[in-house]
Amino acid sequence: MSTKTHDHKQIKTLTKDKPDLQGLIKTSQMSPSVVGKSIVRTDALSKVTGKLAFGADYSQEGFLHGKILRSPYPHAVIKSIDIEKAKNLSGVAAVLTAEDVPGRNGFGAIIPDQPVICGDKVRFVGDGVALVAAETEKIANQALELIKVEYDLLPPVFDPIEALKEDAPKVHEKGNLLSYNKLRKGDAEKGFAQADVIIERTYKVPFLDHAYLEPDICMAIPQVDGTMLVEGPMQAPFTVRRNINAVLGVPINRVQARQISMGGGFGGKEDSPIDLGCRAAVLAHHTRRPVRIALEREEVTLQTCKRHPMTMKIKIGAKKDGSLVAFEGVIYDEQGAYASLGPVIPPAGGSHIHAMIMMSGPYEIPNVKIDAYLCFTNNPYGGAMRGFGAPQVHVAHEQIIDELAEALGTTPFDIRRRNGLREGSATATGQVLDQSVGLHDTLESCAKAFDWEKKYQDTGYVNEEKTKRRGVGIGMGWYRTSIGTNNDACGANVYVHEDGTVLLSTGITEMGQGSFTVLPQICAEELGVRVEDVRVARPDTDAVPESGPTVGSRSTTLMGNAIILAARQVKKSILEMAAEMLMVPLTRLESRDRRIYDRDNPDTVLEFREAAARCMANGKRLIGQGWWAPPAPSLDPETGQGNPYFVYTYSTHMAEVNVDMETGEVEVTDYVAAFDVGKAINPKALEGQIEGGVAMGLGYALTEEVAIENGYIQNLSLRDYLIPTSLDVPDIKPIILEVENKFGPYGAKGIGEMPNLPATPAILNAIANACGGRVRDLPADPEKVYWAIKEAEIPLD
Amino acid sequence: MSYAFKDFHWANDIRVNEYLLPKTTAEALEMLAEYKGQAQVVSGGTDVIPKLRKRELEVEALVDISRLPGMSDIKQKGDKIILGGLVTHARTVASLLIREKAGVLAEGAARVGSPQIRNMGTVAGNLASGHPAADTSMPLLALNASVTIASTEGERVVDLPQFFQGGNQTAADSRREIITQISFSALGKNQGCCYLRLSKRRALTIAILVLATVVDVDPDEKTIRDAAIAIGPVAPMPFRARDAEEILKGAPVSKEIVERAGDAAYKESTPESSVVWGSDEYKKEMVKVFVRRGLYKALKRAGCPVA
Ligand SMILES: Cc1cc2nc3c(=O)[nH]c(=O)nc-3n(C[C@H](O)[C@H](O)[C@H](O)COP(=O)(O)OP(=O)(O)OC[C@H]3O[C@@H](n4cnc5c(N)ncnc54)[C@H](O)[C@@H]3O)c2cc1C
Repeated sequence: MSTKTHDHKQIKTLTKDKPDLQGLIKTSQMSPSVVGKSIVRTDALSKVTGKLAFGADYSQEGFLHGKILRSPYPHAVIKSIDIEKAKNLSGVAAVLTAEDVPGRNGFGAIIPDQPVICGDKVRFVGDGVALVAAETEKIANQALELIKVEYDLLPPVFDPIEALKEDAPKVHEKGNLLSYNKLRKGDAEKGFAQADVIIERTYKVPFLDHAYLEPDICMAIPQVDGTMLVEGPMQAPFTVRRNINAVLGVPINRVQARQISMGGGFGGKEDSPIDLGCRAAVLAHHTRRPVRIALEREEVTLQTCKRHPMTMKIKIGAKKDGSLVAFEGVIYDEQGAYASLGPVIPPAGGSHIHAMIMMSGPYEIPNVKIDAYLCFTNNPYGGAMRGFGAPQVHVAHEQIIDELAEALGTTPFDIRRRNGLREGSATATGQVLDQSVGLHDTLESCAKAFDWEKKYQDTGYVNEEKTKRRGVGIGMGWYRTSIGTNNDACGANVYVHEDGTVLLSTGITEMGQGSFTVLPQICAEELGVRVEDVRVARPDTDAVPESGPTVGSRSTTLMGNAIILAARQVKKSILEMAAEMLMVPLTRLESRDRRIYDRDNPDTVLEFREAAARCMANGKRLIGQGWWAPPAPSLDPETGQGNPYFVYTYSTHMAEVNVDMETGEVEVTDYVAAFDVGKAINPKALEGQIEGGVAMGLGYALTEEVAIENGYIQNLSLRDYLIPTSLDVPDIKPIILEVENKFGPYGAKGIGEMPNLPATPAILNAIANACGGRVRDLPADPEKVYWAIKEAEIPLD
Repeated sequence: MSYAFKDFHWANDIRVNEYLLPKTTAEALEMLAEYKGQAQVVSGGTDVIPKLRKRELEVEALVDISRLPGMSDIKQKGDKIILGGLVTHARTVASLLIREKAGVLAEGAARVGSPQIRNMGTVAGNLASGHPAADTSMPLLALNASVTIASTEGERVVDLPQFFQGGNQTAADSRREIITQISFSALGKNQGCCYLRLSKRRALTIAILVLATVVDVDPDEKTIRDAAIAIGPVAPMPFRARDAEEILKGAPVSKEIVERAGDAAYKESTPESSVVWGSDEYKKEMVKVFVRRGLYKALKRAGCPVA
């Protein structure tokens, strides 16, 4: 490991870098008529009335039922496997083992290291060792019980730091270190030498389950022409297709992945549809019949990816005046059994890389040194979950900033105001933020709405019996829009029909986040029609351009731009036609609210549909295709310096809690969350994202943890894995600020993941403020808070 | 710690052959008798259905008693309150009689699951589940309730302490018998009660700790005539802290006596550690806190607060 430090190089600013990307914000001289409006979500009615069909509601007629025989051991060699009895059971159509996989026996979002069917060894409890397809689920299950597998147990490893030791059992042949990356800005050693106060802390976060409402399901349906159609809820249909084509050993155009309604994903349905899709497709390939695999809740917990656990060690130093001078961090990121979405995707993608880039928080610190290790273990595997890599480090940087403030004798508010990123600041990667930096606006407006000054003074006991204390806390955060890899393009097709209605086809999926409402809003605005005129087609890899996954808070911004580019092509054609029909120069035409008119003479007007119909009749373009990729990311592998992401969303949260000093119970009593989102395309939908995100962050803080004992998950069902209920979530006051993003449609930036990041530390900081004890190993459930209070033993008023 | 095969290979099918709907209690009992232990009573089904799904319960038939007549009322006879065998948690919470004369039970029933679960789930079913943390078992145990159990052989009455047998077993064999009613004395003057619950979240979760206290005081002498303290899950079944109760009986109302009762309950409870629900050590500490708080509040309600 190199310890040499690197000079902080000035990195070219983004806007100047890519002048061709400007101009997407303002698309008309007039104020928008659809964008910025809180229209009702297009899926609201069908969802609240229960009419929307999810995968489990689809007819099962003609389908075989696929099941997976799972490894009962965390680490073992498969000695033998006997499937004879299972095969002979009446009603069983196929029993498959490793040699039956027609193509590559491996899948994975980045590295195909997870066997479709394990042949030589198993790496976690739940690994698939055989597949069964049968006429009913019951028969499929009976068949599973008839398969006899002999194992030779191997010593397992369950801790990422243990896993790095030389004599640790090897989960994969190449060793347990999947990726190592580092970041060097300035000279940390020199920085600490200037510091008046230095503190060191370690924070730990556990595996987390997404707990999406809809358990995973996948249907593989062989087509007569030999194509394999795979349907299911999926966030990344193109990644699913790319894996299935390799596993079946057929070219890409022989696989079609079609998205159906999704009951929540939160990043989890980026991975799991690859797993289910490959397995269902292999069964369908062998039986030449449609196969469905539907998981039960417990199976979802067992089999699918989780948020990565991390152990984060931090040393931070500041001068007396509160200014930060140096930061040193080490991240042990636990990947679990398989690579999934964890490893490096150059230049700046991957769990530990995202974590590394964001670890020192939204603060300007001249000297930063971070080492990030991503390690295999025999636990379940880590994948993306709302904020991929960032929620973990927010727990660390936001707590240590508070701990440092205390050591300095300053306040949580002042230390943030002094050090928070501003326009012109350089991040830990040396990226100079030259636009759309609203962090301080969020801090100030949040404080005002929360009444921070008063509440911060007004802590202490709240009841007569002196058993409960009130406290307040701040969580500040930032998050990228985009994924930091070189594959970050979005494509859209806009097809205007002769009646003026529009079909919008994109590769972005709807999972409850509201894309199917916001994207048509952008499309309608650009074309000058009403939002109800735009129908969104279901994402289908046969019909839409490759758009990457629906992750990274990228949909509104990246796809929004692609839609604008596509719509402009059609609009140009329609306006040209209208110019002919109205005999008005093209430059004077405006398209708005289904009408095309002369700006100088608004009575010269034409229905949008009339122009569209004439285009149709004359064979003039009515289909547009737009493709947009953000400014290319960069990150030097030696120094971790560069422009990893092209724009960031900023946020400040403030929480008030009551802590029961005798039991450790925590109640969140007040909450304000402020965001700089660039532009709110649909403010109501945005508020929904904020409220849901805060609830999720609250669960991370207080109750959620996949409890694993020696590789066995102890809380498989939602009875024992506790996400917050409506009674646990306070009234959340959202504040939306708009500091225009030059690269965003109408100035927008991403919001999907951001809201849960500052929520967790805001609550943890409020707990510490209330009771004097701090939980550095999540979750802060009543017992952990209780022991933290005991340990702190500080005299309270 | 590791899994049984069925725990990670889910069948997604509930394997019962018959679902029977008797019209009278007598008919229900005959049906059960006919199946010779291969049929199970189902009432609200909020325990039975999850158990069938997990194959923790495997029977040939279910006998649905939820529509039987005459068992859904809450009545007072003399100083006795009688709860029919089909009374739901929601009904219990809504009953003025229960709220006034057995507040501790209303408070407990109000914390069961969620509105849906309280509408379906019954108090008798909660008792019959034998769960050591059941939310209405602790109040009923502290109220010295007794249950009437019917079978084709006739009826018998069992007092609660004897009803719970540990390991989710109870005196009522739900494959042969039906709990037709639950009865206990109404609380009156100079009596006070309190229900407390500790859990990781506010609803829809098994409690880490449930406590019910009932005290009977002499307001003139400022002494405690009698005290009942029921706690769960700190033993294999709903548990009465007898040592703590003994300390209180006849003692003057004081901070010191309450503290001593808490310490005694701490000593006599034997909770288990679990990675999900917490350490035994923490639960024991909480027993101390809860017994103290439960007594303070019950004494206050009885009109004899600790000064
Ligand atoms: C989501 C959820 C949340 C829950 N939360 C809680 C909670 O917070 N606190 C809590 O204590 N419980 C909780 N429970 C458990 C359950 O709801 C209660 O125990 C409920 O009171 C059971 O009543 P039931 O009528 O539904 O019983 P059933 O499921 O019908 O039966 C339970 C058992 O009792 C037997 N039985 C039922 N009635 C009789 C009778 N009259 N005579 C003889 N045997 C009988 C059955 O054979 C079975 O063995 C929860 C359950 C669920 C599904």
